[in-house]
Amino acid sequence: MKIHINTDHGTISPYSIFLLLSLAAGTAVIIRLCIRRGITLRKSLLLAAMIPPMCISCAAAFAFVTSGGRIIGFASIGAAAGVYISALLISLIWQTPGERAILLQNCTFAMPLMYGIAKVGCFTAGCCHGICYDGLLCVRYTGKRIGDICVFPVQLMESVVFIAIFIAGMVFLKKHDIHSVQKVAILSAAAKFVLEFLRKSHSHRALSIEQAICLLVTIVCLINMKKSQKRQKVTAKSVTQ
Amino acid sequence: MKVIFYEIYDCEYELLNDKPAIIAPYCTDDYLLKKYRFIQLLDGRWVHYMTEREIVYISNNLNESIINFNNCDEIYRLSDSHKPAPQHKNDPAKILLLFIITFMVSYLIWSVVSCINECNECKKDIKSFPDSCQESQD
Repeated sequence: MKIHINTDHGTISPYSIFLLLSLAAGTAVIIRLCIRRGITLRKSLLLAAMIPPMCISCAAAFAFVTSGGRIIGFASIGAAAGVYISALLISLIWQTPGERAILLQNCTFAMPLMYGIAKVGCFTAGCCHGICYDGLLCVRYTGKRIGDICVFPVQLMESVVFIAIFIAGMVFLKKHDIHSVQKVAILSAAAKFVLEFLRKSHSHRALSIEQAICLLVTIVCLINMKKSQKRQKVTAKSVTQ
Repeated sequence: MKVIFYEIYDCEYELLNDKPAIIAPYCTDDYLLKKYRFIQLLDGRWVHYMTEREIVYISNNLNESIINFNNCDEIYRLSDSHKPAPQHKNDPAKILLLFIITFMVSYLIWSVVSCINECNECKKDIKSFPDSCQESQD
């Protein structure tokens, strides 16, 4: 079964529609979580207003810098950095104790959803496509920019995996799991790391910059979880004594 | 130590991440939690990180088994964190406008980037054109 996608689109590109949709969905989730967890409506809306431009600017800057000035495009790691920078700026403006952690946590929960929806856009545009592949569910891209290629639908796979991670994150949060943020971050980093190997752009590299960042994020989250578990044990001991 | 934090009874006092905090009991009314600026942690507890004035008040009453914030001075009661924020009529409209402008600016940036990209590709096509002409003439 082959999927054929013609990347020569009309006036409105599906890629930009999905990009805007991912920003809108992610921002809506962040607003909802912030309000539910006690952040005021005003702060939540201002955070929502800052996220889209920060996301787009940092995504473009990351792609430009890491390609040595050759590529003008968007990179997901840059977009993630943009979201976190927005949350940090809001927390610096108001400096209310405890709110910075809440804002950063809510951004972490929303990001897999944003990435999952954005990847559908990548799938329609043919960018970030997979390795050459001619089996089941292979995607045939045609168009002036891309030529005629048959590749693995890695973007679709990423979309499904990351939306599943988002749902898992919501379940962890509902169950009041204190390690829910670390679990979401580790799952996202691990999925990104593994799926990167199925991308065409990874063909001649042992490890990409994105994979290195994913490894770093995983290590930091694991250390954080261990410290948190130790702290909990110490608190439990002092309470029983 | 039990704390009566204004209208919220049976609160607990605890050090969270080395910061003094008041933890509300379960099933506290959402309205009260929002009014007194409590935030929800990942473990589901609603917590209020204390202001300097509240820390001073609680450290002056550490020997008490129950600390009642309703008994503290008017200065402490009307501390900045509990004064309702002054309502500006046009705030929601301004925030909505900022939101719309932000989306428009983001779409503009994206369009500009796409144009630059397409121009670069056009330039590459033009550069290769004379070579293909040469080949056809030969």
